[in-house]
Amino acid sequence: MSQQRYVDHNLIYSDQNAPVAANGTRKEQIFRTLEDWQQAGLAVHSRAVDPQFANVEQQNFHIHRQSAAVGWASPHYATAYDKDGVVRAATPSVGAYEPSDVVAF
Amino acid sequence: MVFRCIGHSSHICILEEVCMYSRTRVRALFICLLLGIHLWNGGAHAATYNISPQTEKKQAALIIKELSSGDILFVGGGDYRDLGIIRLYHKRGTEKHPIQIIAENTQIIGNNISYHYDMTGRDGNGVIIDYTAGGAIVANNVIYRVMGSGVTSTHSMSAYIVHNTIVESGYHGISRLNGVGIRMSQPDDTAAVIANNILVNNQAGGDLFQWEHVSTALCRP
Repeated sequence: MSQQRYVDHNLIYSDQNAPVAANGTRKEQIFRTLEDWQQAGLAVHSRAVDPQFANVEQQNFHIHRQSAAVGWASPHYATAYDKDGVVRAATPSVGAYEPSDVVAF
Repeated sequence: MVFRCIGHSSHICILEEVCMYSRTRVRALFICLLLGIHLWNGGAHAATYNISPQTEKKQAALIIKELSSGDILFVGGGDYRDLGIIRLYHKRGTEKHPIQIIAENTQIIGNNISYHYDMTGRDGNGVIIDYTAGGAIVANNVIYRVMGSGVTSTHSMSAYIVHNTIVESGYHGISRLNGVGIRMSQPDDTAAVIANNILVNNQAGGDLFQWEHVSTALCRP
């Protein structure tokens, strides 16, 4: 990989219109949207959608099976297990958790 | 007898420097390193310390408290959960004689990290990868409402930051440049993998990767 960075397959979302990415000591270069960033040839497999966490107020960041976070993580960089110890799917989900049925939504 | 401690990076660098001396002196320096005896660092007194998962919690806290400019702390590989929170990030030393924290096989996996707070308003990050050349792994963590950034890498190569859920960083933060999801803060934070993370509503500038001084072209896979 030499000295370069691999930055992709991330879900980046804000409901406050915050920029997706910035570069420079004082954020001289700002990418307002994921599309802007992708037009620069970066993060082409990333997404900007609400992952629909189970319950943010209760700090429950599990995802349901219909979440946009399901099934599009890069298998190449996937961990073997999720935070709960569940085996990652062949097409893993982004974030700390694989989707779960036992979690109340 | 005057020894010159190495600059940054690793055990290997120490050996390279030391190999200029005779074999006898190499042994002497090795013993010094193991025992943490004070060494000479180009004008600043320096001590070398070691922490491992077997280090007693009180002893580890004492070592961290005593760190000063020019010191080197080797953090051995292993599981530190039994040691509780080890706060190293305020230990910087001076610009000329920084405190070097050299960690091997660092893995921060499966933690719940929330409401980290810093009174200066310029820190309070969830995870800081500081001066770690060995490729720290930060995976499967949930980081929520920390005052600073979710994960910050500083002068560290080959960080592997995957499958983290990072939400509302910059909570009550006051720095315009902090409070992002994942921050690569220096030009030498290279060869990193940042993939499969969820970054939601991080506040200071939003959901944000920040590369200071570096062209975005370097981020290309």
